[in-house]
Amino acid sequence: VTELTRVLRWILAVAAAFACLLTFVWPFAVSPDPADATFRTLAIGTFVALLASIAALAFLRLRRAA
Amino acid sequence: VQGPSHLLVSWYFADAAGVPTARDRRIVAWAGLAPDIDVVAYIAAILYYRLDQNLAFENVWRVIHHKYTHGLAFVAVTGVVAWALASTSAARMRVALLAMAASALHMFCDVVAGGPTWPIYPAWPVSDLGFSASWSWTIGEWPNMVILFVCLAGMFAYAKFAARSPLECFGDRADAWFVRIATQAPRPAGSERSSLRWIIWAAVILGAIAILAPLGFKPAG
Repeated sequence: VTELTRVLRWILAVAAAFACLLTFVWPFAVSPDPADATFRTLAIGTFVALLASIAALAFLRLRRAA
Repeated sequence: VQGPSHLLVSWYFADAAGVPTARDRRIVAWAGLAPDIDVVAYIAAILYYRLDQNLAFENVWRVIHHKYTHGLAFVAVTGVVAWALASTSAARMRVALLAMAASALHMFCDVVAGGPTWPIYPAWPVSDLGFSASWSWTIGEWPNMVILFVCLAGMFAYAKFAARSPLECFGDRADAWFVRIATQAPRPAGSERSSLRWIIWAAVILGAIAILAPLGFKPAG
């Protein structure tokens, strides 16, 4: 496992944990209305970070395999 | 996010997390699709109402979809099942945690990219609070289509360069068949049962239906 893989896995783990917080904690602890701009920015940002880190790790795996 | 995308993203998630065995990757991938298991009730309702889709939709699907399977309780159930099914006792805790994460991420993806029509119920049965965003893009919009097609392209790339693919979800033989096609390797004599081909084609047709059905069979949305 390279240093870059380790960093990307950390980003993935943080994004996944943050996604869980937004889904299960935010509605009860902050606001039950997800229409507000803060939630929208955080949710879309987390969504992009999540998919981008998975894609980057897949790319690294394929490059190593090739 | 569409059903097939949930399955594929969850498989990539398992692979990205470094899950070493096909069986455990399969468990995490199916855990990522598991919250949509309530579609079984919809199919049963369609049969119960003698193929009257409108009645099944109004009386069952509208009432139950997301209600019981899109919350923390279901995430916990997913974890228990994954723990029981994991390949080795040493891997159990890790597989269970990743399966729970995949299941929870399914719900997060539904909030962001599942459309405003179907709320999730994060704390059911403790709370009936439904959570859905009016700005959430619907299932037929371009971001979801891009995610699906990138996932499908990745499936070919994995098969070609890593000699395995998300088709692992349907079994090792299905994966070996797909890898052989992607790498254009010759078929080993007597390695494939003729029934397997039909199973794979049935899976492909079911996948196409799973993609097109939520779009009303109009790929443009």
